Amino acid sequence: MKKSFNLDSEALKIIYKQYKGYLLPAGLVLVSLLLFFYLIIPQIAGFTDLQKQMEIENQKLAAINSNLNYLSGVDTNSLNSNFNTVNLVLPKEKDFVGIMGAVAQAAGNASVSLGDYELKVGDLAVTGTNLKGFPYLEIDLRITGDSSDLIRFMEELQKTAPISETISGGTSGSSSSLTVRFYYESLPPVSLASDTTIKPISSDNDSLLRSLLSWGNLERTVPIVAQGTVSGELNSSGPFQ
Amino acid sequence: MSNDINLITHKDDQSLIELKKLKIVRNISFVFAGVIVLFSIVIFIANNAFSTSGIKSKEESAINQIAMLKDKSAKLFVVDNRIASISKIIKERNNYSSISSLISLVPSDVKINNISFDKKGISFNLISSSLLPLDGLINKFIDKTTKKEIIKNLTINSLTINQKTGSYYLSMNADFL
Repeated sequence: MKKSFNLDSEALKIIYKQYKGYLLPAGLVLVSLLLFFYLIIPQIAGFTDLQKQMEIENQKLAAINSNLNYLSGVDTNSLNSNFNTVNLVLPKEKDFVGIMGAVAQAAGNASVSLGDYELKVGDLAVTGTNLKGFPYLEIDLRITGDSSDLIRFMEELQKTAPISETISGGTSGSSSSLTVRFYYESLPPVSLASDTTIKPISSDNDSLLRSLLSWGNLERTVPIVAQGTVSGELNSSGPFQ
Repeated sequence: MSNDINLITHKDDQSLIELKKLKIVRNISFVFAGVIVLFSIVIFIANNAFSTSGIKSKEESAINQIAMLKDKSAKLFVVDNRIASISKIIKERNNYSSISSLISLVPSDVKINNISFDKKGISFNLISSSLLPLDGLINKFIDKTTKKEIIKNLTINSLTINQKTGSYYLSMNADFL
């Protein structure tokens, strides 16, 4: 048997009068529960994310500070000297003047007379690359001298800037010839994120750098103006620009 | 048996119970509200204490200082990159120091007529007035081949004599290891 309730306005008034004292506490509890589930719990859950973010930001800050300390401590004169040296040893483009200077200086140091030479420039639009992946300029040289003169010349050329590699050679009587490749490499786009730790030059590279300082033909200056930005490119002008 | 019913007293009991209930409910609601307020304060303090904005402002300041040293950082980058490339070329380029050590084996009474070499090997054309030093030289080269030093093989192309001059001509070539 169904019971029917008739909730008319009179009945509602009676209920309201009877329970009006509970309305405020009930509302307070409801609001508190809503705040707890929709505000407090998400905040607590987000707290672990915040801690992770804090850790990441702290690491970034440490890297940035480390970079700042390192950069502040780098001697500008020494850096400029190193920059000049490495760019003379491995120019950013075909350094004809440097190559001629290297050949002349190596010949002078080896006490041999230079004969004819022929630069194989090739198609200027297409750069030759060897297995090492570096573009090069090949040159055929003739020197007046026997095998020992040739060896001496090659040894001198090996430690003269720009960097070169003797591909082949030969001696016939008192005349020698050889084919040499002079390498160059375009400047890489400088893109340094400030939060990436700058690593100091490794000890191997440092000793190589120091050995390069004893190379010949480093008296010139590289007409490169470093306008690098931390996230930009190095603007530079080559020896013929 | 008493027929009197004390309705007034009963009504007071009921209202006292009601008041007690209401008080309990109110207290519970205040506890709820208090807990929420407490949580909110704790979270507010924690958020402030663990805020990344402080670190980010320090980062900004350091980045601005680094930006003033951008020339240095760019040059360092280039130097590092260049050194790596130079190191690679030096390691991989042909090293002909071995040629001089082979030439040093040629005795003084043997004249080098011509030499040619590339990265694969070397060939000699030698002249001598006697076979003995040529024989000694060949033996030294064979010794190098046997010991796997500098060269891995030796081929004698020709050994001829010029009857008019009495000179011996030796032509040989060897491949580098």
